[in-house]
Amino acid sequence: MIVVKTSDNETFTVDREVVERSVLIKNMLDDIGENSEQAIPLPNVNSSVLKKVLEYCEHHRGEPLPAADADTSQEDTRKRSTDISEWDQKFITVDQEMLFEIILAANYLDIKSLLDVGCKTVANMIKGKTPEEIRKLFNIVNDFTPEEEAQIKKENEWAEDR
Amino acid sequence: MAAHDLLLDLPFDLIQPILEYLTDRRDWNACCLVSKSFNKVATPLLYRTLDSRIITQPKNHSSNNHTNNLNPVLYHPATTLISKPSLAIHVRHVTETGAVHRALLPRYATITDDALKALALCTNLHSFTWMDDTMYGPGMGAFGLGGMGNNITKAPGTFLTRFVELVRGNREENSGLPLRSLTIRTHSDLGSSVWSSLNTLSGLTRVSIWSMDGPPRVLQGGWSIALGSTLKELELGRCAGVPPTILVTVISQLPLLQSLRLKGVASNAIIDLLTYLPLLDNLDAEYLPSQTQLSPRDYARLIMLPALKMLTVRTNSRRDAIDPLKMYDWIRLLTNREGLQAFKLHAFSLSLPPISPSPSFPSSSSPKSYLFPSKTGLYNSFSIRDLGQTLIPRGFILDLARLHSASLRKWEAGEAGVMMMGDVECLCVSFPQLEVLDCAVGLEGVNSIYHAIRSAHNLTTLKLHIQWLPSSAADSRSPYSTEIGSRSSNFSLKEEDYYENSRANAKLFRNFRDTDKIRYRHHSTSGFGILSEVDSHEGMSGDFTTIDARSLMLRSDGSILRTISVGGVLYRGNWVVSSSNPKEVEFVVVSNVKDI
Repeated sequence: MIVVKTSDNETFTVDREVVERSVLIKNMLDDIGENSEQAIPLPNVNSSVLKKVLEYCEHHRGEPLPAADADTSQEDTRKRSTDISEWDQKFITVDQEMLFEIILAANYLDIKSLLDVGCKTVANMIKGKTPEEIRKLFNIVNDFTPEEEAQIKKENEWAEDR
Repeated sequence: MAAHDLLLDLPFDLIQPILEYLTDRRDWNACCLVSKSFNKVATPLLYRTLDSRIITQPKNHSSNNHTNNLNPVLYHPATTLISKPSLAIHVRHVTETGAVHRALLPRYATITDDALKALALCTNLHSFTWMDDTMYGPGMGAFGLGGMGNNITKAPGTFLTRFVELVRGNREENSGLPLRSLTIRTHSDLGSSVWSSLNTLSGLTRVSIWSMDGPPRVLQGGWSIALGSTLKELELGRCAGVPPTILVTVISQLPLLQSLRLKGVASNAIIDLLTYLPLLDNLDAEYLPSQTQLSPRDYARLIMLPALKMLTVRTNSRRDAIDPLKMYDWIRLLTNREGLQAFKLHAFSLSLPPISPSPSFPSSSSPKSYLFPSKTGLYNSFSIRDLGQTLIPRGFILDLARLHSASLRKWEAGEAGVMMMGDVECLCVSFPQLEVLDCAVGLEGVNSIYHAIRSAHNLTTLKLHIQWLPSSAADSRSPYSTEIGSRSSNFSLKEEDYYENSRANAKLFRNFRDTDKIRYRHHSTSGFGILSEVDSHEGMSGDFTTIDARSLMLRSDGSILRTISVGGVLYRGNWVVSSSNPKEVEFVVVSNVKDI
């Protein structure tokens, strides 16, 4: 069993097999050796997010991890596939704040499959939307001047869909 | 801004990983305009792959003049890159077309110079594609601007010669471009001077050549030596007429090849070529029966055949042209080492396009389609009468399973060979890893699909080109109970016309239903009369509905089947957030979506 400690000082005791879905933690464990009693500090993840992340790791325990040396074409195929399983879709159906926190944690902990699910979910929200719709979706302020906006439109005119 | 709002905002660190999951240029284009931080991330993604288009717009909208009053407008990124060179470092892939560089657009007379100037700035350029689908020289370009013959001196090939100089660089100010992949697709001959400059390019890992006119270009004349230490992928789109000895010389100089596609090489010669390629794992070749038998020497060399992971065999769908049994023997030879992951059998026809309800059908009468057979293929093009000759032999499936049972993930036979549902079942049992199954089947009813694929637990994609058979069982889904026209309404006008025709024909021949097959002359919208055999039940795939697709996808808890195509209609299923309750998820199946 491995003990991990969150940013808000909560500790979780987890099976090594589960927590090792995080490449970051796996590498840490490989470095500090088998029998360390010390809790692994995760200063970038709070307890509510880690709870979610561990729920994910527990469900996907034992599944093959993507190869570390996967080449770009495999990488691309993985990103292009839009399939999200029922369990994953249920798992990721959370409010936007939690969604972003999960993606940040997956990114930090280096859990590729979770990063995939999270990013795909957000990317699917963006697909087909206008700039204004995207701003509204994520509460983003348009910080371009009208001149800057016109300039970008002109530069990228070759890519316009007509 | 309140702290609460800040929390809801998308953190900057996440923009990059998320936008990388987009695939459509239009989305990146939109993202560039969202905000400065979005722009920072989306711009490199947008400029990674560049191309250009000529779009003809009516000169003025009020004119009701239907003659050549069109205004071709060029959309090309060169101007942007020249005025903002910082963008050019993001560029990885560029496609240029002959149409742009034929200098047919007086307003863009400097485009060739500009494009080359822009390309010189693309110091990270990895891949370049040249496309020229104009067949009849500059005077007969896409815009019908006749009488421009004096522009022949501005042959688009000069662009390529100058591009090669750019890639090679010169001693001082220009160190060249790190080009690794080159694709040439041209219907007209580039001429020998362009080819001899191309032949000086080295360091490439991928080369694809489809040159449809002039002498065949197969890296002869020393190019294969220059590429020998780097080339891993090679496509040669026209090898017909090249003596086998030249091919052997070229191929034997490319020992690093992992992927090879050849067109126009006799089947026995392909076997010989493969013995020089120990690393090859992906082969795409035609089955072109040779007159000669394999010699004893050839047989002795078979031990040197590489272990293929992917094999695509293209075959002429005219049954009289080949002996299918010999073809399967040849495939057995090619796959006699363990580890095949994908097997694809692709049928094309050079002489008679099969009758098809595809909307693209009328355009398939243009010569272009023959040279680059479309990937989408044509469906429902066989009739039951052919079954005896086209059945994929059960023994062949079992032979493949003997070596590749644990490895095979994709079986895509399209309609190159027909299978009975029993064969499909055999396939699913024999290859437990099967993820993609694409085949032509004779089918008695929807229920037989469940039965056949019940052991294929890893199936994600199922494509059936269906020939509905008269059902002997008391199946409520019997095709007899359905009108031919009862299909989904999402078809294009042309297709509707087609069905109008076939419905009329079906009515005419209703009395002959019992005979199953009817020969009639079908007049397509393009005005060509095509003699074909069409089963009177063709079009009955309307019998297969979204509900069927859904229940197949969810046939068991562990089912990961998400893509189904039956009779040319594609269904995709996905778990999405419920529209009625955002806390729940639901499984949604959409039909007639774009294939990915």
